[in-house]
Amino acid sequence: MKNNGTIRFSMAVLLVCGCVFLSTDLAAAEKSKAASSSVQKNDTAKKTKATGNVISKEDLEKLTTTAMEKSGNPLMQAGSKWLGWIDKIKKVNSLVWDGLQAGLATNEQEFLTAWENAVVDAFGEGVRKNKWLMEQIRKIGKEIWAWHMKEDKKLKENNKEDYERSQKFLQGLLNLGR
Amino acid sequence: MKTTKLLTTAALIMGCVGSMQMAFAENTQNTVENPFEGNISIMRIFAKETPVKTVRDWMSKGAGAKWEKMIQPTVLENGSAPLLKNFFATAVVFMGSQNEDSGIAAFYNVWQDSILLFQMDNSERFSAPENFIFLPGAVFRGEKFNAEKPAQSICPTTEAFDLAIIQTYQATKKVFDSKFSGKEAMAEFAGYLKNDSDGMFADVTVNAYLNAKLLAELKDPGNTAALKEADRFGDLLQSGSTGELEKVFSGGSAKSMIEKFTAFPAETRENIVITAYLKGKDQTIYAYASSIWPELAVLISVPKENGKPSFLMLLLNDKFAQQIMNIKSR
Repeated sequence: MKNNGTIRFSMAVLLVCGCVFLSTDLAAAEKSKAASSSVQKNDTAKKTKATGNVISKEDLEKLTTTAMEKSGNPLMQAGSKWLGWIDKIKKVNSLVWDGLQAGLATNEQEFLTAWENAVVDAFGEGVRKNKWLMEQIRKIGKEIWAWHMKEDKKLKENNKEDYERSQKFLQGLLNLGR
Repeated sequence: MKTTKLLTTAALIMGCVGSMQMAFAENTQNTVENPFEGNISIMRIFAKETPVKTVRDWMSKGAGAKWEKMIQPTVLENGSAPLLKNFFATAVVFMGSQNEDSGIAAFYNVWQDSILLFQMDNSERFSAPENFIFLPGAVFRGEKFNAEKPAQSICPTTEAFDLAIIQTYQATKKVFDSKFSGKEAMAEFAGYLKNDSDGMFADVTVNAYLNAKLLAELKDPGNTAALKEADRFGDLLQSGSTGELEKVFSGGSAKSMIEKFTAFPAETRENIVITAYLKGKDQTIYAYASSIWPELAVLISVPKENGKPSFLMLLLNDKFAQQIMNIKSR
């Protein structure tokens, strides 16, 4: 941590990110992407000067990630990695997101604890001091869990054997880690 | 957002607009007569297109290097810096005291509530900044910056948007004039330089990001009607005739205000860009400003229920702002 300014930036960016992700319907993100890109193509063709300066949400997300990656600050670079995880959660149909704990969580509370720890690991213990921010992190966590459960059930139904095998495998890895 | 104030204020403002024509004329004349301000205004025009390169090349070697390093986090892989472009596009120039050797000046963008404050080296043929600091407006005014409570001019929560814009502008200009008009200007500037430059720029970025995030709603796939409307209003402001504007917009003094608006030079109007999009409970506001003469702003308010959109012209200059504030305090 170089100085207070960069810490404040990290926190502020995280704050803003929190708001952005909160307002994002994780489950619908994939579906809306195709629609979004086709609308944007049309926009380009019709664009007038007056709204030509409006930055799309996708570019804003890119800006946030770029700001973190280029900061030269490990804390913010960790934040960028966290954004990568979010991206994975949104895009990849998977039980596991950058951690065995979350994939193995059997109930919401277990998952939320793992999620909270993962975020704090990435950003540092200082995050816990900001009550508002922690509340937002929990809210996002709840949304992810809801999504996760939806996918989990689907996987179970679609391929019972594979699902059980993957659970055993994850459990084994976790035991090794201990 | 106290929505009703917008319309009532429109009528009050119109009383001032006429007298502001003089102020506008004086202001424009000053721009031409003051070579330092002329240089800075020219640089802003270039900076709104290529902020990274233009500002770096304009500044002294040391200041340019500091600029390039500081803004890196806001530059995308393709080299563009959209948040900075938007900052320069609608930033007004503040001029502090100047002499043949040095002076203080600033770019202030009320829509992002951020100020780029710099010390000029006037000894060269083309005066250029030799040091600078980029601050959130709140810090510049001596208030506390709080990312959770954005400036009223970015996201109004306690008052009408038009008043928030004028009040924030005037408060910032007042601080600038009080600190940088006299002999203490250099000492005051040195005081601001004590702030952590990267940390301050981080807060500036948050302000710009919030403004951009609200505007980005227009590009939301579910909001195509709003984008169309923003474009339609934009087209009208850029090139609509008095009659065309009168057909679309209402408001107590809209007719008179539209006549004054359409009297602005074509180039000023052609370069109007959107600066804010606020969706309130009772109305939606589209704000625009000219990137050629950013002092000229227009707020269009569309009521949720049926009704014509209202048209409100704002002039970001001292006299206009003072008159608005006087009306409000009566």
